Amino acid sequence: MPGLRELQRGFAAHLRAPDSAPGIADAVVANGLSGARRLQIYRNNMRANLRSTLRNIYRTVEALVGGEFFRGCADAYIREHASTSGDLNRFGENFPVFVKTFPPCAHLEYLPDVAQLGWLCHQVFLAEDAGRVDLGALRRTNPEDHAALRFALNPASRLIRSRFPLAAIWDLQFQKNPGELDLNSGGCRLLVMRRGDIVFIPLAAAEFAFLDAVAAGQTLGEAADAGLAADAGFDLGSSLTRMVREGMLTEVHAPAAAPGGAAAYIFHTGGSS
Amino acid sequence: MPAQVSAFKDAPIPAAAGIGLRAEHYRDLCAELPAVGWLEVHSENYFGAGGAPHHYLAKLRQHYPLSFHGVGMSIGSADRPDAAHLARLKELIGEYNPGLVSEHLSWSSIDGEFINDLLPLPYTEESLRHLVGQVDFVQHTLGCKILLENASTYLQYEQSEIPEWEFINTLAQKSGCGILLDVNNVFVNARNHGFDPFQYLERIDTRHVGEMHLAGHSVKNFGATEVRIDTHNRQVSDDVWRLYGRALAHHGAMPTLIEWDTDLPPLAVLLGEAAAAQSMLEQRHARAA
Repeated sequence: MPGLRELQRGFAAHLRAPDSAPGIADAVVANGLSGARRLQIYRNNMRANLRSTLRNIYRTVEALVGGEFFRGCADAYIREHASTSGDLNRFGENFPVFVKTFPPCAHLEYLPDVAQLGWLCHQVFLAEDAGRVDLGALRRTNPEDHAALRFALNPASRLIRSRFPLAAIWDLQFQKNPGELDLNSGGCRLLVMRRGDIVFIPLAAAEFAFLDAVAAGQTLGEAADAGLAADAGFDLGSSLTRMVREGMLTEVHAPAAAPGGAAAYIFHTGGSS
Repeated sequence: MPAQVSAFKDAPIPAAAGIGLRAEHYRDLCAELPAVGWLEVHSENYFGAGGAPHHYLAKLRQHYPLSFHGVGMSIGSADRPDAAHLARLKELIGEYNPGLVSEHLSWSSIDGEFINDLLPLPYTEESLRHLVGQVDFVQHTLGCKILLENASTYLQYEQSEIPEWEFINTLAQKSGCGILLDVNNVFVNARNHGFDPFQYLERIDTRHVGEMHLAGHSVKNFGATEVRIDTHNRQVSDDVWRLYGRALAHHGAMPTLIEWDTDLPPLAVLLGEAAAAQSMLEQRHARAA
């Protein structure tokens, strides 16, 4: 008689691949149905459960490729990627990478990026609520310290860039009679952000480079340099004002607050706090 | 996370009918605040840090007693439950102060790999000893008592030597956990494995029962064999209502949840099911008075 651990290992292996652990069927009471058939009920449940988890996260991929094709991709993914958490919201992270290398998807070049956008939306949906930039504290910061400030990207946002027009592809699923879409009509740089609903905010090259640097924990000075490197015409003052106002940047950490210090010169928010 | 601590901060779950809170009903519930006794959520649906789930739960928490029901702890695994899972659950318990915290008497992971389903346990002395230790560990880690639910099962193990009701009673007695008596699961298992559901119900030790569940299930045919599947996708069956009547007569009025997880109906249908349970509960209260 197998001990508990041995039994559970055999059961799990059987659900993954019945042939890899056929013996476990003998540990099951054949009451009207064989042990293997009863195990199959669990196997089907597991697959249906994980499949619907993937479908919920990657709805847009499913809408684009069709239910049957998606199911094939999902089942192949499930066979190769075991779930590693009791929280199903964590399942499916590698699906975008998977579709990139899954031969039946090879002709759908845009699909990995669309899938990645799906995963980011899922992350953004569950992410922490954003704080707010304390403009008062900012105003008390010495202008000479501004370059050393560190902002935080809104925790409920993610950056993505693609050589495909992702927002237009994404919208296809909501159109009754989608016309032709030129996949080569231009790439995109987006900030995927939760603002009530999830929105895609198009960014200029310099803004993207700037936010990417902020997200990596770089200082305002370093991030500004990254923006300027992407586009010499990058206007830090107006971009920063917009980003704070629209909630893309949420927290700011000053290196050292100077009591009663000078007014911040790069912020044109118009508010009093 | 909740903006303010509600009036239900320390309120126990009443011996009334409650409903499972699902995302599809967030807006309607907040708008209507219907007269239902309490709400139960799947704890894992709030493992995320923020956003709509927490926004609505914090709001509704101010109007209803709340119960946390987990599906992913895998307390029956030969492994210890995942430390991060328990830590997050403990955090949520601190934030929302639920009146009850429950899980399933089942396993769903081994060696770090998850099946994300409620898998059956062999009812042996080894399992019992192990589960007593697991429950003790979990209750100690969370700092609160948990209820364990009898799960629906589609197979039994040759090695099982203890009837399920006896396994659960002994586990509750030795570990100090409570029993969440899922009446639908008793019926499903009775049909799947051929035992008398009424006898099972009456053998469960009333002193440990803290909550009951009701849900709809489906029937699937495999050749000539019929298997009842615990799908939570429809109304409670007449058979299960009858069994629930007997459960109330035997164990007394208990907090009773209507669970509905797939093919969710409009909120009104769910509330109709809760109203049916509520009226049976009130009859039971009247008889006890």
